[in-house]
Amino acid sequence: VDARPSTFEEFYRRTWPVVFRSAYLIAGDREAANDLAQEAFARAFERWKSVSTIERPEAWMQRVVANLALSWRRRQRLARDRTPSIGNEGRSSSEEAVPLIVAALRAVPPSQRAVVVLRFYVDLSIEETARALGKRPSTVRSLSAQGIARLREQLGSEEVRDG
Amino acid sequence: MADHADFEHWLRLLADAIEPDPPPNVRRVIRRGRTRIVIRLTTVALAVMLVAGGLGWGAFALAGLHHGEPVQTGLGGGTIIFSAYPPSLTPAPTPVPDYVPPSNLYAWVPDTGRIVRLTNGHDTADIGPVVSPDGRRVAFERLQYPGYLVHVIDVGGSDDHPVTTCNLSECARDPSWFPESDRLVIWRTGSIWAVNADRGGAKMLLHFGPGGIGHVALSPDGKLIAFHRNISSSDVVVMSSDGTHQRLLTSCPVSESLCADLGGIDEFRWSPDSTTLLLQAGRNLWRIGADGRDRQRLTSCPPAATPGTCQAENASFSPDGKWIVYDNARQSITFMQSDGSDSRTVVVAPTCPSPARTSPVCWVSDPVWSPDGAFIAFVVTDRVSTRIEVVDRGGHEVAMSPPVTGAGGLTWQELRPGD
Repeated sequence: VDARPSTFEEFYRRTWPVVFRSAYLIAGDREAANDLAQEAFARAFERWKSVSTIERPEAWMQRVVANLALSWRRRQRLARDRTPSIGNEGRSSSEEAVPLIVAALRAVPPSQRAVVVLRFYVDLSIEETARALGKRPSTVRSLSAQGIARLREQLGSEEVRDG
Repeated sequence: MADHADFEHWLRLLADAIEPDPPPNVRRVIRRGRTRIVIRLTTVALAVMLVAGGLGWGAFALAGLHHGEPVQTGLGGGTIIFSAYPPSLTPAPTPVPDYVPPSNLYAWVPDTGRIVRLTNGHDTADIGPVVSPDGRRVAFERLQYPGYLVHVIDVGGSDDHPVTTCNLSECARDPSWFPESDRLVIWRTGSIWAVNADRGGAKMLLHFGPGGIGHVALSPDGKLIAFHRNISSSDVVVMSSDGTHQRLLTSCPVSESLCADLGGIDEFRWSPDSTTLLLQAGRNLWRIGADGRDRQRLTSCPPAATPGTCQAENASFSPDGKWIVYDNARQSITFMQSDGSDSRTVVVAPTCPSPARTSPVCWVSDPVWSPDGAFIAFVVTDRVSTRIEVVDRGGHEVAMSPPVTGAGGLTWQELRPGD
């Protein structure tokens, strides 16, 4: 349940972990996630008067950070296409150990990845996810199914059933 | 469906197991948010101006800059005057050795948010503003290639005139005001002068011959002149303001403990009561009595510290002389009691996150006290812009200027525009 934040500072401290994780899950890069989460909060501050009054400000934040992360990935892909020798997409050279879920999500195409994260981690409905990503609900359903299938492949379906 | 729910549950467990980075200081995020607000408002204003057909000088109105308007007293009990690039010089020019980009003087009253442009040169660099003790005029250095001149203006920006003329490369530098606000001490190549702040009238106080002087400052009571003599060694000398009674305070061949780790004096400031000099010598700050006694090192940067990690600089006394503020290698702002005790770091430089690794370094620099000693203003540069920020003694931000690219040389004083 989202409690209405009394101040931006309180909202920031309470919401940072989940916003950071969403950014990390979609972007697949810890350093980028930190920056993207900061940018999302800067945008929240920019519109704080209205953001603080909406019913689920955390959900709004998640939509913002998801879109930022998707844009970041697009830019990364473009940069990679222009300089193919760099390669190693989505990976930070400074990163030692990547969490299992992040490693698995890296193998899922960006649009499917965003849908999976928003639907099953951020807990948005099909309609909310569609609005957040600018897609039709039917497309979200389709991407969601494809993303889950791909993720199961990566993680191992037996483990999922046992989970 | 159960399988689906299991998967959702399992995915959430895995995601929740991710250890997030600790949240950065909320002020950094707020600063970023404010930058977005300014950019949005600026974009809207620009669109309005374009529609109205207002370009050129109208661009200054965009940032709230209006030449010649009176300056009001505000938060902290005064106005911040500083040097910055003109709005037309955006983005900031790439640094080139021996090239000083054009700059003008501006005045900012922190709690009104308004910035007033004081000088108008298009191809000159106006730097180092110093407000007269009566708060009515500002002296500054104007670099108009090939040389520096000292100019004086009213605090409203009018009556811009030079107090010296010459054709050499260092015609006049380092102006400091006599208490009566009618004359200035300056130095020019090889000599120290007292000049009239109005047009005409100068008296040479000391002559060395070519070279030899690095920095000159008149004490606030107008009785002593300290100067950096750099002929055979790096020395700080004090003399009476009529040019007599020279006294060597420090000398810096390496045998001198004050400069054994560094190689010379970089700059110095007088305490408000004119009894003490605050020296920046190499990496550290020192204080020394005007009589040469009570020498004390105030900071403790090791001589072999990695460059850019420990370097006390841009120091100044609080108006009551009890506190000193400085920046450490542009990475933090620290203040302490004037004997070096009770040191408190109140601001650290913003970090430039990963996408901006190749952008210019982010820093904080040039701290100055407010006239009432309650606040500290400094220049902050992040990956988006350069601004002037005001914090209280607890480091809490209380005001932030609009973007002021190339800002530096801050001075914060009570102004009294002419009648």
